[in-house]
Amino acid sequence: MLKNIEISNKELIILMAGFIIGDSIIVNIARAVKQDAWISIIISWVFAYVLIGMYVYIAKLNPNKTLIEILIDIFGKYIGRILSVLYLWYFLHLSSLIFRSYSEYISIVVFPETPRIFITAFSSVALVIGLKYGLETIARTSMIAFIIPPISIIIILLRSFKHMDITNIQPVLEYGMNPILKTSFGLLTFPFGEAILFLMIFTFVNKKEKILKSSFISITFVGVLLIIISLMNIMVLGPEMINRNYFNLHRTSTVVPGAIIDPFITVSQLVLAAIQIWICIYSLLIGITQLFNLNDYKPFVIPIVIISVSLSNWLYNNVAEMFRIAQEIYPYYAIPFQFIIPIIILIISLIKQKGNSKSTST
Amino acid sequence: MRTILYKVILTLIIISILLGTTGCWDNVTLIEKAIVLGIGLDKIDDDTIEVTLQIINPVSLSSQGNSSGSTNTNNVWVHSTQGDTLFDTIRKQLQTVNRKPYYSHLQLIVIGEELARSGIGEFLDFFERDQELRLAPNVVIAKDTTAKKILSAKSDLENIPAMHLMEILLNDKSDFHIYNVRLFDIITSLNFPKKNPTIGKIEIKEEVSELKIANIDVKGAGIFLEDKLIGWIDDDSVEGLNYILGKVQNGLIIVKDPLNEEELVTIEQKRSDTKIGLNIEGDQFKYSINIKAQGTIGGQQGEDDLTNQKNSKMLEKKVEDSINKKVQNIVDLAQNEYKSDIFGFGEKLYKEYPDYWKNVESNWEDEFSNALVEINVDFKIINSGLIDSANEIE
Amino acid sequence: MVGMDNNMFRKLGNIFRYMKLEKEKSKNKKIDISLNIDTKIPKDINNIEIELKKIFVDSFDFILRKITIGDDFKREVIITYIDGMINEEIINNDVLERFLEFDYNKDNDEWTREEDIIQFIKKEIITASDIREVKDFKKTIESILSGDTLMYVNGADSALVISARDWKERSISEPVTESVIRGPREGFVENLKTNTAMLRRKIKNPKLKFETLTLGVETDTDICICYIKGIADENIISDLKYRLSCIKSDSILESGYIEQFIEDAPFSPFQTIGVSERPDKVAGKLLEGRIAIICDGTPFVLTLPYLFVETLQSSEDYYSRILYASFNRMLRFISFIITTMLPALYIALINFHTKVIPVRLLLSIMDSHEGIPFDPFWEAIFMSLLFELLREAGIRMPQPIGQAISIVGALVIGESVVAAGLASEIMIIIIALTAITSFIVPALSESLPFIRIILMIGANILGFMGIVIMLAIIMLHLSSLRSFGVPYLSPFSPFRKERIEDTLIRAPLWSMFKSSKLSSWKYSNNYSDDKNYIEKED
Repeated sequence: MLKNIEISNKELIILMAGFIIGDSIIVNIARAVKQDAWISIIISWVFAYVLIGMYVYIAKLNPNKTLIEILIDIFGKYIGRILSVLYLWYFLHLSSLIFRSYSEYISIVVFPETPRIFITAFSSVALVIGLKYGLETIARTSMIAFIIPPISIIIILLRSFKHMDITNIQPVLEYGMNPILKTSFGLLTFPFGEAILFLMIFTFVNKKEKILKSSFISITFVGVLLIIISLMNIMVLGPEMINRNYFNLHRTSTVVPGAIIDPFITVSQLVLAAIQIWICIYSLLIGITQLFNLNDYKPFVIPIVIISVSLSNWLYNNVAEMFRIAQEIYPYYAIPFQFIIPIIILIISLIKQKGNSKSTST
Repeated sequence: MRTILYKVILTLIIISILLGTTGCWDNVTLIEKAIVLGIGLDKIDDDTIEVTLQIINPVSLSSQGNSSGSTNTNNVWVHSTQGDTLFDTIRKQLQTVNRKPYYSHLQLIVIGEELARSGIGEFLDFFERDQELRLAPNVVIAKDTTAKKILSAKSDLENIPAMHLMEILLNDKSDFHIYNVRLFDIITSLNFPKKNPTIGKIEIKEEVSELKIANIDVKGAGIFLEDKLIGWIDDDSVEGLNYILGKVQNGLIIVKDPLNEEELVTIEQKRSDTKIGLNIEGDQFKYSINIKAQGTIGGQQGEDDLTNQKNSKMLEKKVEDSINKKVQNIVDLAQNEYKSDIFGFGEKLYKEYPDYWKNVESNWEDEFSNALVEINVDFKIINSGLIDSANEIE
Repeated sequence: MVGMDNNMFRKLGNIFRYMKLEKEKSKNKKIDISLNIDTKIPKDINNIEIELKKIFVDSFDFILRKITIGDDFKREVIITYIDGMINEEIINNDVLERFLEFDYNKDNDEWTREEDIIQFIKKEIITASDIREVKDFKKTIESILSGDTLMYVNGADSALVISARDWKERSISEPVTESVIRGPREGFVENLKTNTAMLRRKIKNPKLKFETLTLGVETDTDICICYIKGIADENIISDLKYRLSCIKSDSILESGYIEQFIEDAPFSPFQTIGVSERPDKVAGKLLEGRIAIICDGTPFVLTLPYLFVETLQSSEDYYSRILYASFNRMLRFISFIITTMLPALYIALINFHTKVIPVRLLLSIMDSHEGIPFDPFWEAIFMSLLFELLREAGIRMPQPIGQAISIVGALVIGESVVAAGLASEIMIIIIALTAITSFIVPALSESLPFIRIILMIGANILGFMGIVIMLAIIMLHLSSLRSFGVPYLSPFSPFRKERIEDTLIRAPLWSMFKSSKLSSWKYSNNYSDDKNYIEKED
């Protein structure tokens, strides 16, 4: 068990909100449904409460255990370890996806001449230092840095207010419910379902009984923010441009004449990506130490970050492929990790608990 | 202890070497950038286009700081290159411009008439795709001349002629004969299948040996069918168009004095609001353009008191008729002469009745020209300045 | 690279701490070399005299007076002191004169008996108020050195310490480093006792404790730990005492010596122990549950734990009215941001994000930059270096020359650098702004140049993104810092609602003093970076 690491519930709210928003602040996954994007965000938002509520419930049924320990506990030594390795792969993969998406944004939008690998390498310096300092420092830093994204969104909102056209959200439900539901499912796996990683983090929270409340606060915050961003993009850009542009929020900011606000987006994107990668790699490191019964994760920090960065480099050929895979393949890839295995865990631990309570009562 | 200190010193040395040598990829100092403020696009022949850039001339800028007020120096550098595609042609600028052209501050895009008539789609694609460009610059079409000529015009008021022209376009807020569109507006209107853009017109008033902006007129607009220019409308029609699109805020309306037909009254419109309504009866759809505006009496030639209720009503009626006429004029032009949906009527139909739209989309041009358009103008005179009636000259 | 050296700072710190312990072990062996004296006081007065003369050979300020007193039964007495450290009037009036005037015949009994002689002298003869009896010869030597007058009596096994310390000292005056418009005009002085008295006058409470100890093998400097019992955290006090006990330095000449020995992060650019010259400020900190260390011989008093917000606070904030005080706090915070970030932001804007600058501003910036041969980064480095040089040159010089230097720096160099085309006017404005704002947050003046340069480096590598990454590294470092167990960024992160009202704004005193102000700083047990150490579950 990890000794003495404690994060407060406020820090959990910040970490979870930052983690879930992540790169959905710039990448609009729901852009396929054009002007109805906000509807699918609302639908997936509602289901996110159920999904994340389930994760919290699993943590409650298996107190003081991380996901890896729960897996070994529930599925036994062999299957549990195999599943743990799969999960560790998922964490690694996720971290490299995030590395890829924000570096892609920066190398396309901000620094077109700079090699992407340099951007990732340079930013991973800060990431490595954070990981070496540990979760508490990460949480405290995020707590202060997290002021930036909401403020940037508010600034962009105020600046682009004049250019909004509310009729752009019409016609509502032009293509019917099916594509919207499909997109909602995609949104549920990315970004909301990624909160499965927090099963690794919940054990460090100091007030365990308030985890559910904190998680719901952060989901509410995330949902509101995502809907605001989505509606703002639709109203400023209109459905066609939303569908065509990779980075909607950036495009929105270029429409506004006068003072230029895109650096705010870049900065908040960096902050959020850092939180995401920290959580991913930290979970991975904790998982490794627990799976192999090690004492310290620190020797693994640099190798894991290097692996993740290089993985991010050869995951996709180009940005178009990245978006296609994120929209079409990723949801199905995430199903076992985010839905099937957790549900099985939930059922088995419920049965176990029933058995326990019966055996204690008799 | 000592080895660690050596390590620290070593890292510091390495960092400072890194710093000194890596002039990182995107690190381009200001003096290595050529700030482009205006772009002109022309067509030479079927395959060749000409791009004119208006670049700030930094040398003259700094020398002007020392010697005050000499406007005749060349504050900008105007240079043209020819090539096959837009990107290629812009790159060719590097053969003459030593600094790297930097487009983020682009203020004005001038498109030559020839090019506008053959289609502007390719260029819009470039402007939307490139990360350095923004969608905020203003766009005008040069009538009967080339963009190069317009960009070569000098300004007596401003250092940078492109800024001068751009700010004239921004005056559309107080003069509704000017039609101002940004690149973003054009792209969004072309996004919708049957909506067509209109772009402001710029033309040379009189041919002189050294062209100045004083010799240039910015008024009127060009009407497009998809991305091709098909015709021009004059400044009065632009006024009507501005009303329909709801772009008008402030401007002057001149009407005849209701009590004395020989005298004129100038009304300054303060604000206006346009709402377009849509009704479908059977397979006939009817658009109603409802304009609500307010204004003050800005000046009168006659001596009558126009502020009493009866006269004021009559005056308002006159103003309403005048606006109605202008709006009707542009509606007729668009429906009958050009058959081009420049008002976004189709988009309106699509947003409110998407199912109905699917039926009429294929021959929307005909449907558009047959659509009924009803114009309701409601004008209110809210005050008459500091005085009520004119000074009686005796 | 940066990651490595940041981590290295930590390792360095650990090694440094370890070495301190090692040093302590080795120091123990040679601790008595300086005073290799018998601990017993010799019975024979002549031996004492020889011994003393041996110890204080070649010290002209050492005064030894041997007198013979008594009417019938004569006794030899030695009175020694260091010239200039005692009040001779007390010795003359209350000691020497009494000896001469005393009627020895009246009670001859005790005067002759050897075992009672010291008691007798103490009780009957000497009228000086502060007298102590010491049996340890070594201690008597130490007392002489610290300004006491020593009296050895022939045949007695102990000596008398007459405390008549009095030396010329600076009178209490207004502190130079922290002048205020409103507030007390007194500042600490070099004398330890005057300083503790000043604090005692502010807090008239028996719970205010002054614990003394001496540090420095050669210098034997008096140190005083002050705290208010019940408010200050016991854990922090014991931790502090432990750290102080580890100091085995030869000399402690100023409180800065102590600071460097006990601070948490010696290689960090941020200070984790506060310094103040103002009694009112220190009293305020004591009331907040902090601990002060007063070192004899310096007016600078250390306070700990020291948090980042304290760099933005000033004692005057609490004396002036709420709105103005809050405004000043914000001003200081903004100045902190400007002074650290402005050159970096400017470099990033000019070199990377030109599009953020509005056109007309860009025109004037271009105007001033045209013809400057240097990269803005090197220009900024060069100009800040120039500023630091001028600052350092001005401080060490006598006042009139210092002014001359600043005139030369500001007018001549600034003007001619621009005229020669070596730097742009805007860069001069930027550096001047940074300089002015850096004077608004004097508490951070030691760390500012480092932050500034780090951010400038980041800006030169990747513009805003580089600044953000460098800021993240600084933030991570700040978040991991602890001052005596208290997180350095404490009221912000970890967020503490009850303390946030005294940070960027200053809440009204009546709302602040109700409860939170007096609540103690919670000591967190795991202050080292071993927090992430993983133990195997058994």
